[in-house]
This record gives sequence, structure tokens and C-alpha cells, in this order.
Amino acid sequence: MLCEDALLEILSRLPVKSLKRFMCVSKYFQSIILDARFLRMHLENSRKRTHFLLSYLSEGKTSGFLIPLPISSLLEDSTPLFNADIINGSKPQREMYKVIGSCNGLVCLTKWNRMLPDILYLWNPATKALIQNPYPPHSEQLSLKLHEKENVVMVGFGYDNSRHSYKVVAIFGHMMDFEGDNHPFRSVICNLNDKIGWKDIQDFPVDPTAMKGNGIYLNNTLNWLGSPYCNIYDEDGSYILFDEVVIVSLDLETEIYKQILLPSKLNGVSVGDFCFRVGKLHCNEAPLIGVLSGCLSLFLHNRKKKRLSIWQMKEFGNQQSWTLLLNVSLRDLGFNTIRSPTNFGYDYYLWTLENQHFSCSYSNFLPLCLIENDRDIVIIHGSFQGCVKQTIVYNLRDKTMTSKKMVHNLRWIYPLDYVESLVSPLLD
Amino acid sequence: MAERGESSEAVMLKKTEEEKLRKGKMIVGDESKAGYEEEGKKVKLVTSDGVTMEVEISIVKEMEIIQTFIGATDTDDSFIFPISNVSSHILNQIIELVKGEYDQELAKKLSHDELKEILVAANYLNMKTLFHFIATAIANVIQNKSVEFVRDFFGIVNDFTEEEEAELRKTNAWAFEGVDED
Repeated sequence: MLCEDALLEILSRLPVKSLKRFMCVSKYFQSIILDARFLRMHLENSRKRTHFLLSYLSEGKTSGFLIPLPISSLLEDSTPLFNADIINGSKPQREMYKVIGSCNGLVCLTKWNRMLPDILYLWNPATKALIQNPYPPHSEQLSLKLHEKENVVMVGFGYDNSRHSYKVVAIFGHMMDFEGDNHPFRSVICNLNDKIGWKDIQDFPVDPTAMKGNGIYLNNTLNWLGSPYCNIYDEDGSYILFDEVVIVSLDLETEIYKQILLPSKLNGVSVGDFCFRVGKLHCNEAPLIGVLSGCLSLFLHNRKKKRLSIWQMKEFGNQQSWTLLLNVSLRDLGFNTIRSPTNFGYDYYLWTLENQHFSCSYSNFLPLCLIENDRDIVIIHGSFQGCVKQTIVYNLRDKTMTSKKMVHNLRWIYPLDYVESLVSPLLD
Repeated sequence: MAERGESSEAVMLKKTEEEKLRKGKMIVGDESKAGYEEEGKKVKLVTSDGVTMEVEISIVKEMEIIQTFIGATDTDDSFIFPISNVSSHILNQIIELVKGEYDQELAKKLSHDELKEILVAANYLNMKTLFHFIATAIANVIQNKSVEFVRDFFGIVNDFTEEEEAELRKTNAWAFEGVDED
């Protein structure tokens, strides 16, 4: 019989499904698996196996489900899509639930049909536990309410390591009233563990309207983009420069916002060539910021020059630490452009990869993660509707690429730093 | 007996640590040239079945428990270290795995008993990389296996009543789907 340390070392490397099964090996096994120390050990080991969250389009139906899958399922030929794990068990319907964020294996959801993220759901896809509103506010006063002409612009979900609590943040904008009023962007936070309710914190310091997306969780902070302008044009009607775009970082412990500058190399560069449609620089489907190998990263898809470059902030919060990870043309990623003449006096360009054709202006690149000791980068090529076309694996060392066509019934939401865990959605 | 052995070992370890510190002060920054790191040098290990094996210093360096001793003594060729918990067969397997740079393909060739014995040896010799590597290899073996397989693998007696076990299986029924045949 092995000593307990050795046994813990083995069990903490197993998927949650195996652990749920092995709880009936013996009372000793059950007590190990239910222990809080084991839960933390398993979570740490689990972080080494990155998963991502996506939606699943069931065969012949329009309805989709939220399911997490490992990166390996994108790279290997065998698809786990039709195995029992996915067909069975709780899986929130994509049409019903909107994802706010994920950490420690918990996914925070809200309903699409609500104006406010006031009814929250915590879901652990690995244990299949889905709990509605773990802790509704104590009183009407502490519930989430909109002021006059306010609407929810952005949300975020994260874990405050210092207080060991899960927090949800909502940032409000205001309906246009054409009077040029300078309204503040009110922000509120809810600590899900202390079971009290929503409270106001510092206002969001810049305008997030042209760059709205869910908060990116990293290093005990939630991160969004913003600029002093409510759209990507400045007062003269020309595109704003990257100098005007900042990362706004909310420290979940102090609940104070900090602004982080983008790489100084981008100073003077117009955001125009990087926008994916009028008035937008960033959204969940086409993000400008994300996390790669534990670093906050910038994904710059230059639509005009047909290039993709990626910057990583090696030391969180330090502007000097921005490092260029990738700077390639789309040709380097395997794409070819073909010209398709039209009768309207201009030519229409299409991209091709593996005999598939795509409209240039509706394509989107989503850097997902680094694998093989940061040698390869996995990039998803998809459309704005969230349909995944291919997975591209680019070798940063040899500068070579391979691509794999996606299974047709996979649809993206966006990548989440999702890891499998035993963490219960019923919080302490 | 075992307890006494362990405590005297601990005392020795402490002593050698102190000596190492003193030595370190004498030859500051010259550690890379220290005798025990010479390439090709071998250390004699005596296994539980009484076999004396000459093992390359690069491999012995991963055995933290032995490394402490080597660092402390002026390693002439007469230095012999007994590893009473590890058989010559298992030590050979360990050497193969270290030389093979911890390739999971190599672990697939090992029997279940070998995997377990290597894990115990890695724990005893304090070989951290090997310990994590073998734990991963064992996790890969049991991941898709049945409850009965795991009981047998670890030699565990089921102490649930039939009702208790049936209830647990019912609660987590999804976890029992798609399990490998034993």
C-alpha cells in the first residue's frame, strides 16, 4: 500500500469524472477526495491542463449547449463530441445562459433575457452542479438596480484570493440623450461569499463603449479596455490612436481601478485598421485583450495589412514588460488571397485555407493558448457569428504552421481560462 | 528500529548541511568545479538485494537524499551509499527513465507493480521529478478504469456496505459511463 502523499499525488492528477467514480473505492478514498486540501492540490494540477469553453450545436438542431473541452480535442483527430460525457448531464442551453466569466473551475452565468445580471448562476461543468443565485441579496436595498437611463455595459467574474471570495462586477453606461452630458460609468460589485448584496465602488475611469467585453480575470484583477472617447473616432471624426486606449484593471481585493498603458511601440498607430466593424475595437468574439501563458496579451489583427501580431505583458502592470510574441502575415499562417472581380467596379477579396473560402472582412483570429512549453501557439480562425473554421498551430521557433478543419457542429463563444475542479458552486 | 534509523539519518543530514555551509564559505562561487560534479564520475550504491551498482553522478544528483551526503564528503571512489529500500531491478528502471528524459512512452512499458515500486523509491530517494512523472503515469493507467480495478491496483478493501455503494453509484451515475474493460 502506498503512503498517503503518494496516493494524493496520483489522485490529484485525475479528471473529475474519475474522482467521482473512485469515491466508491473505499471510505478512505472518499474522505481523501472530499478533503479541502485535496481540492486545492487537484486545482493546482488541473491548471496545467488548459480547457476552454465553447458551445455545442447538437446534430440537426439549432439549439446549442455550453460545454468545456480540452485544447487537445482541437488538435487530435478523434473528437470527443459524441461521447457520453457530453450527451448526458447538466449542460446549460446556450440560448438561455450568457457567460460572465470563469475561475477555479466555476463558470458564472446569467440569463440573456434579463436587463441586469441580477439572477446569477454558478456552474461547475466538471461535477455538473448548476446552482441558481447562490446568495440573493439580503434586502431590496442591496439588490442590483439601474438608475434612470442606465444600462449594463460590461460585466466580470473573478476570485479574490485575499478574501477567498468570488465577486461579480457590473459597469453601467447610459442611453444617449444627445445633450453631451458627461455621465460617470457607475460600477457595482457583489461578493458572492459574504451573502450581502451589491454595493457601489469607484466609477469606471474611462469610456468602455467602443471596446466592451467581459472582464478578463488575471492576478486577482479583472481587466477591460477603455478610452476617453465613446467611439473609435475622435472629435475631428478621424480614428483615435492607440495612445488613447488603456487597459483598466480592477484589483478585486482593494476594489480600486488602475490604468495600464499599451506598448509604447503602438503610440501614434491608428486603431482604424484593427477595427472589425464600424465603431468597435474589441468584443468577446473578436478580443483585443486576453490571457496567454499567464500573461495579459494584446491580439492585434491588422485587417488592412493582413497581419497578426501578439504582445504579452510579461510582468503584470509593468508597461516596460510588453514583449512582442508574434508578428506574422496571414500568408505565414497559411492563408492565400484570391481576387474575385465584381460588376460594381471594385474587386472582392477572399481568403483561402485548405480549399475553404472566407470573406476577409468577417474573419476573426482568436489566439487560444501556448502549448509545447510555449513553442507553439494555437489560434482559432472563425467568423463573427461564432462559427469556428479552423485551428491553426503556429510553431514560434521554426516559424511553421499546421491547420486542422473544425468539426462542423462546434461553435465558439469565446475562450475562457477554464480548468476542471471539484469546487462546489455552493460557496462557504 | 525504523524510527531510530530515520532519526540518526536526520542528524547526519543536518551535520552534512552544516559542513556544506562551511565548505561553501571556503570556496566561494566555485561550486561548478566541485569534485562531485565531474563528468563521468560514478557513485556506488548498494541496493536492497545487496547489489553494488555504479551510477553516474548526473543521475545520483537527482536523488536529493544522497546528494546531501556526497556534497559533504570528499568523494573518493571508496564512497558507498546503501539504499536499503530500493532493489537493483527498480534502480535499473529508474536509471532508464532518467536517461530517457522522462518519456511517458517508457512508462507505458512498465508493469503495475514496477510503477508502484518506482513511486515508493522516488519518494524515499527524494527524486521530485521522477515522483511527479510516475504519479502522472499511474494516473494515466487508472484514469478510465473501473472501481474494482482501482481497488485491486492499490490493494484496497471495500468498506462500504452494499447499500452505501449502490447509493454512491446512483448519485454519480454519469461517472460510470464509458469506463474501460478491465
